[in-house]
Amino acid sequence: MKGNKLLSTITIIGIVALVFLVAACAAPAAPPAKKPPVKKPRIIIHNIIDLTGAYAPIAIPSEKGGKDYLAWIADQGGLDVDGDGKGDVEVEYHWAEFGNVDARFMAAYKRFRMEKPKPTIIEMWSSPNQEMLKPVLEKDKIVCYGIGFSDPQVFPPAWNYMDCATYGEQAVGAIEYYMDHMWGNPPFPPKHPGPLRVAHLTWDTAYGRGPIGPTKMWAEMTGKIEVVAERFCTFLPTDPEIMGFLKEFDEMGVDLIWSNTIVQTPAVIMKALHKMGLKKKMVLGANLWAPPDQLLDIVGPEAAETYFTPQPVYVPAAQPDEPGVKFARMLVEKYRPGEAATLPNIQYMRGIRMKANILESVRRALLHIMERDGVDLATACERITGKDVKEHGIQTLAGYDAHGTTCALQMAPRGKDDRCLTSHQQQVAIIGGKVQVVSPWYKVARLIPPEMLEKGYFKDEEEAGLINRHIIVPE
Amino acid sequence: MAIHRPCGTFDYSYYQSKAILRTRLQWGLLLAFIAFLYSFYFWANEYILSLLIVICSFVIGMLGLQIITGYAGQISIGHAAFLGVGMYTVGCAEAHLGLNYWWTVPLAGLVAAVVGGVFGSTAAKLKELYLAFATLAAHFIIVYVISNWRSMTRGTDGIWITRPTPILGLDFGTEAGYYLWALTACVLMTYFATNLSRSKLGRAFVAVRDNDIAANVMGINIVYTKMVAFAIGSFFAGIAGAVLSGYYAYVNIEWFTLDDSIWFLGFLVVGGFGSIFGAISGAVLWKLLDELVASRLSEMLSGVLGTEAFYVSAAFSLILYALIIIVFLVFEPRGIAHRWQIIKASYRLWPFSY
Repeated sequence: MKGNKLLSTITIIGIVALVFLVAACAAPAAPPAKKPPVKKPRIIIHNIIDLTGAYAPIAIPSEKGGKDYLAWIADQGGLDVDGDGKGDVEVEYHWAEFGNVDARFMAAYKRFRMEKPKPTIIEMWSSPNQEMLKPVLEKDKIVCYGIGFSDPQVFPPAWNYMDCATYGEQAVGAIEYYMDHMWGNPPFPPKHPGPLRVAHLTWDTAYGRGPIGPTKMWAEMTGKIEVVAERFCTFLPTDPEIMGFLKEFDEMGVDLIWSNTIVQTPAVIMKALHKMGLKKKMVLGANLWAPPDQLLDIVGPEAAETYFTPQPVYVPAAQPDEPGVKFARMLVEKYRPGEAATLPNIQYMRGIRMKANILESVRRALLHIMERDGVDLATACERITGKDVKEHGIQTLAGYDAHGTTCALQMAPRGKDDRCLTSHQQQVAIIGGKVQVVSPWYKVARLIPPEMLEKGYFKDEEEAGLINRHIIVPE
Repeated sequence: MAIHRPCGTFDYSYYQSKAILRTRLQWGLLLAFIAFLYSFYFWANEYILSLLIVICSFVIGMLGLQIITGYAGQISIGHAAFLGVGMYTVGCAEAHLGLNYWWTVPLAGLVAAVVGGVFGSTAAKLKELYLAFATLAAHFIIVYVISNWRSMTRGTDGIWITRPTPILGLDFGTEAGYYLWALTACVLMTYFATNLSRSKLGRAFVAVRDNDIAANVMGINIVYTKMVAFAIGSFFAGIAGAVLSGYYAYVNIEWFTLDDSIWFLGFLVVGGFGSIFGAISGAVLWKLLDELVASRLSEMLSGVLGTEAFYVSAAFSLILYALIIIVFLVFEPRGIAHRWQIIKASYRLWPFSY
């Protein structure tokens, strides 16, 4: 009975605690009653991030970069809006962890959506959840800064902006560059007559399948490559699982495997390629979320040899003298000196770039409001809306280099309907046991479904001759 | 656990004996509680309503699993996939047949019931761990079919769904409006599940669960009973999926994972097997913990521990999650429902210890 009493007491206390927590969360996010006087105007940026789900391995280093960048902004006295070198606006950062669970994503969005003032721009992780919110964001007039989308999400254009090119554009660009400049040059496998034979080995998700349709259609249109297989593996594949696919690919004469996953999957594929002695016959390329520096750490130099990915940022391991890399190193030394041996890496650079792009969008929108309405900065901070950030901020980012983390003059968006913030990428490969940049910044193929042109979208880009290839993204 | 009735309450007829609620006080409390739940429509904010809508959906889903596992004793680790069948039925019925959302809801339940019944037929020959593997296979088969039947399901791209059309001027496009529908569905399904558990079929479920050979000797058709348990449980899952998909206005294959099926079972243990209250409390606790501990506490802890620890605190919540299940398994394997019975009994017997 004593035990029962104790458990009953614990249960009652637990229920009461839960009720209190619910009540605490139900309360609107009002400022504390006695808030110290705010000297500077304030803006808020938001993030719904996955730190414990499928995207955790890439989200954590990215978020380290982003948080350090925000800490640096705070140390500068805030966001410098007028460009005089002094901080003008305090930046408040609200984030929610959703563990790749849809219900938690929606709850986090609703919680942010209720805030006063209403959010203007929210960083978001995970394709399906961003797709779910596409019409909601349009209705609420809030910009989504997405870390990446599956292709259908980009068409027709909405309020979702993407940190990179579409997965189809990335893949086509990287494969084409490999074919024209890397294939046949040691240590990559020798060339053979006829088209490059490509196999997709990826996750069976919207994200994983992202480049399959575009690469197949591009293959049909150009005849430069032949997509001979599409195979799907688990999120955390094992050696035997991958080896089975590789044996099949070997029999098919596959030259290049493309994987739209995150770094663990390419790591297993590279290990298996190495074990099976297939490195002389085929290479593995992957999308930007499987960075070579992380893969090198996981599998070691021998197994990692010849692996490549496209990247929209400078690479710390290979381009240490680039201003953006120096900036990132300064942040690491200042805010996490204990991790200086491993950071900055590519993900850390992308984290800085994402937050810099977001803040630059807000900064440009504030300047526009001040000029449009003839108001001071404090009033502009009160008046700013998602529409301002979209039309006068993020939509004007072309040419912005995000503190040198990416190349200037090559940033998207390219037109009023473009939602991709990367138009150029560089090829990064592991050669001689080191991460090396093997290409200049090259422009990715522009793959717009013809029906979007027929509906009147992307006219400005078409008239300016920016669209070099049209393909149909099959449903 | 003996059921202690309120002092002075006696049954004078079979009608009274069969009643779920015996006293006016109980009726009053229940009606007040339901009225309280509906009152959220007037005062709760979008965030709370969003949370409640999801809870309502998962309560319905959990009731389904309670019927399969708690009452009929058939283990299922593919329950989230049946929820997915419901979600995709809504999406496909709207996309291909042009059906209004309201027509797709019963359809979602029926399709899920048929699919559940088919997989449940394996229970005729399989038991315990072997049945668990069969339902695990069901999960993978369902996910595979949805992923690859692209002409019907749009594969992994997902399907957009139109929010339910207004009824009697109620706009279900808003959180408040949708909450009314989700809560009503939840109340109706709870009523249905409660009565099912007391019906001839419900008692057959329990008989099969406790000793299927003895049940067979008593004239219960074991194969039929198990199949029907799976079909009805999956019907609930289908309805839960329909409620959820109408709210999200979108359905994607990534949303019903094996993890979800495992959590379904885990929190059914926490709530308590073989009890409607157990299913409800398990689902409510699951989703509250999901939001309050996994999301909010992580953020609060990162505020206290600083920037360095923000990702550690996020992972901490998962550990806490697992600990709760372990604690219940060790100290209260009969779940919250049993604990609730003890609390009620203690209240009724107080101040006497026995």
